[in-house]
Amino acid sequence: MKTIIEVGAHRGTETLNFLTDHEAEVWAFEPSLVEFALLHRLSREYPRLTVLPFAVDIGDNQEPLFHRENGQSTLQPPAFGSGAASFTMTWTIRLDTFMQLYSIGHVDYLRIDAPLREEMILESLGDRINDIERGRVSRYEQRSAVPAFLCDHGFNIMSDTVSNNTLCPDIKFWRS
Amino acid sequence: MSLSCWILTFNRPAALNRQIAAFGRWTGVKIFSNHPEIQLTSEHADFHKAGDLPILYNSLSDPEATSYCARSWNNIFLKGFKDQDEMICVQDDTQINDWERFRDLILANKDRYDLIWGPGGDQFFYMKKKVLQTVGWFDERYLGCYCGDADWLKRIWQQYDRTKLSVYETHDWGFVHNDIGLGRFIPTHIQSKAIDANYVNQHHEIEQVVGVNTNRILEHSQAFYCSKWGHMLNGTGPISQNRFGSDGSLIAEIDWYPWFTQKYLK
Repeated sequence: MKTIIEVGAHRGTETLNFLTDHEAEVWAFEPSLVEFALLHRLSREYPRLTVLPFAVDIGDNQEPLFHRENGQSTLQPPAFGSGAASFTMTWTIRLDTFMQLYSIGHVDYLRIDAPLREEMILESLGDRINDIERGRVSRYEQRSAVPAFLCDHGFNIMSDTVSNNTLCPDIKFWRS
Repeated sequence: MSLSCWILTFNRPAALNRQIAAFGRWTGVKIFSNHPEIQLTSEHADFHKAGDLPILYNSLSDPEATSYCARSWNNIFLKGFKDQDEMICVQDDTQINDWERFRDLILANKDRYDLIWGPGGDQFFYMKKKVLQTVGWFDERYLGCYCGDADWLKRIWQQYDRTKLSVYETHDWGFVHNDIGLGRFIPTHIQSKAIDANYVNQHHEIEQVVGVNTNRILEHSQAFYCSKWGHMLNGTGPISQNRFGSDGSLIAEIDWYPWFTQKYLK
């Protein structure tokens, strides 16, 4: 089986694509309760899909999940002074903690789509980043440190504008 | 006099009894309950009957009320620091792995540090009375169990001798300073906490009462933190960094219990 981790599964569009590979076992993180409920229903049809109602972050804690007017939910708070911030609390988990708890030794594909938290998600792998084979990260700002982080940890990277709904190109990464 | 350990409990009997077992053999355990009912195992009930496991109830709490950590910790300080100079404070859902090695770790370091804190907010801390004397009370203007711990830790960081602080804080506002290795013994993921079948975290307890879409109690705490420090708690980096222009609070602290301050902290 191939192990796929999807951080920020949202409404499951990409999740369904992953599941077309009959050898794929998908672990999808989605902290937004509405979208989690949708995915959870989907998981009843796909035994190879496990949906977790957590956000991935640098700590195994609880943090506020901020809800934006465009429907996005993110751990990243709105800019200070931009008005009252609406949020609910969500459980967060590090990816290395998750891999240990669920006995995941190797990850064939890591997909990250979590507005402005992509660096923290990668950092949450700790040394387990060595167990990641390849993946794709959505970027939400041009000055992201993600490319440098990935290169520093031995990945090749390239920009990928396919299926991209942010203002910046996604980053595909893979081991040499 | 043995080291006291105050357990703050929220109607989570399995977690509470696990906690008593982790601390009962090397500290004097005392319970501060935010719920009117306590369920103890028969062994722990015997300790209680023998007077070895005192239980104090938060008389302001109510089955319908939500938790209020800042006030609870202050209550524990009131009760504990009348006749002691140090204590352990721990929330009931904190799992301790290998309590004997954990005991050794704390006992080996408690004379070096006046505060040992971590790894997830106010779930565990060892403190000396001098910290309360120097920094003051938890700020009870933080409702629920949100922001009050970060506020108190930030004030400690700003006002206390940092060589006497050991902090290992893994929240997104956290930082590490003089780490003694708490993280090896205290996991913070949900699986470590949710051992009661009906486990409810304090944040979700509040959401059950005030609604999951607009959590005005926690939002009040975040807004108050912003007003006080000039930056949001979450997402702006470690609270130890003074990169927001002001070293101090923009809002004056309150001496919540001046009679105690005058009599026991001066």
